[in-house]
Amino acid sequence: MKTIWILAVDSFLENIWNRVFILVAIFGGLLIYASLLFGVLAVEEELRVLMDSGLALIEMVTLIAGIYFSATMFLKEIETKTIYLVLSRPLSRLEYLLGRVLGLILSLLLIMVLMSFIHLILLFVHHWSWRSSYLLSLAGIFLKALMLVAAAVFFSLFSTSSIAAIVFSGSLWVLGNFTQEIRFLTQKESGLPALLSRLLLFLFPHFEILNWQGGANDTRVLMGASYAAVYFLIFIALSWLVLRAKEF
Amino acid sequence: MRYFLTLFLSLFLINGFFSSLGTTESLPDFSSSKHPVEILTLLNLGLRRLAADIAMVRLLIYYGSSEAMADDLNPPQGVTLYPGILPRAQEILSLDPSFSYVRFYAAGALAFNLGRPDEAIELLREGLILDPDNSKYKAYIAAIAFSQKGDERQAVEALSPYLNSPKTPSMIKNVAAFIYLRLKKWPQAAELYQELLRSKDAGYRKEAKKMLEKIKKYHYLKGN
Repeated sequence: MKTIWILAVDSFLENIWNRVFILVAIFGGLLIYASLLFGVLAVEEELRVLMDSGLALIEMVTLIAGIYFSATMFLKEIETKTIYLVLSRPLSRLEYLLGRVLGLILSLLLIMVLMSFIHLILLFVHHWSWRSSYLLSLAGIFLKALMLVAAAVFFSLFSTSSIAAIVFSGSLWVLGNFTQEIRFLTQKESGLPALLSRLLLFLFPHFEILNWQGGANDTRVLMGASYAAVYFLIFIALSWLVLRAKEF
Repeated sequence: MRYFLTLFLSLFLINGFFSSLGTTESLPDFSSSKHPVEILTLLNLGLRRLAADIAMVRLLIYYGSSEAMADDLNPPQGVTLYPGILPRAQEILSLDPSFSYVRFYAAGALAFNLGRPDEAIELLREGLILDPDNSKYKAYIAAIAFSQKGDERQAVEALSPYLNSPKTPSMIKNVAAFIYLRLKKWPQAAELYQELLRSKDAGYRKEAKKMLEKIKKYHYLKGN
């Protein structure tokens, strides 16, 4: 456990001093600030628009950063041969994988905290009164990020190409938000198209379960969190299998 | 390889299981929309509420700010002003059915400013189906019905419990204040105009200031 934590801290520190990470954090903050302009257009619903656009930007920046860092982290270590140094120590590959992923998750949490801080300042300036549903929205975004991080790590190790991993994970993100439309198709169509649509429902993740911005009851939160956790664990297990089979 | 396949199969089954749970959210109707691409893009990134917000901003821009003055809108015979209000509002509400501001805003504009109460009632009835316990819908429908009969006193009375609510669109408050003026209920009109001074819409604030001055000058302060 200690080894995992050391690796996680190392990975976290490496990420936050990464230029891309700093750029992402600054860009995210600026974007949230820019959402003020959009809010003004909504006149009487300014607060709602400020809330929604801020949360949307937090989600997009977190997911983009999550996909990018997951897709590049391991391959960079393999390319620079840093992985040899790490794995030559008394450390299992599972510990290495978990440590790195944990570090990545901590980095994403930091991005979310920074952006949420700016967002909350803007909201309070506009006389918003605190609601716990804000934390619920952030939790939903964080769980989506976990799912995508795990998938991107797997794709990067499996495909050994950062670009392929980014494309696969990005596609998964978009397609994971299509499920409502696919479900609609399965109800409207019949025969082979309906069968194919149903098959797609088994292939793609269902991010709509984690859209908690409009509020969610306990059952929905529990189901969503369980789904995200299981999805994450399966992809981490798959990544471990790939990493275990790799020869360095 | 066996573990690999087992894990993939588990993933497959879990996705299938959770897909069957689904949600009760409706699918948007894009048939009336001219520029659905940005809405679709946001929708497919899972940003449904933001998509509704953008569609609402587009509705506000479409309708503009001239609706503040009901008397300004006297269309020539046979001309329908702002025909896209109902379909646009319905599109927004299909993206986010809980976005009640849009329902009340569009219904108010249709019924009280544009003289199309049937469309307004259609919109409110859809809201009532989704949220049968919401008495605000019933009050709006009643107010529109009274207004159609020419009974402005009853119409404004039906709306009165909601007129001080911050969630009631300024447009509705402005229409109600105008009716109070016509009914020579100066204190009620003044109270609503005072409320409108805090509106986020500069047009309504300006109008409220002007009307308050008039009320003070000609009626209220003279004890009428």
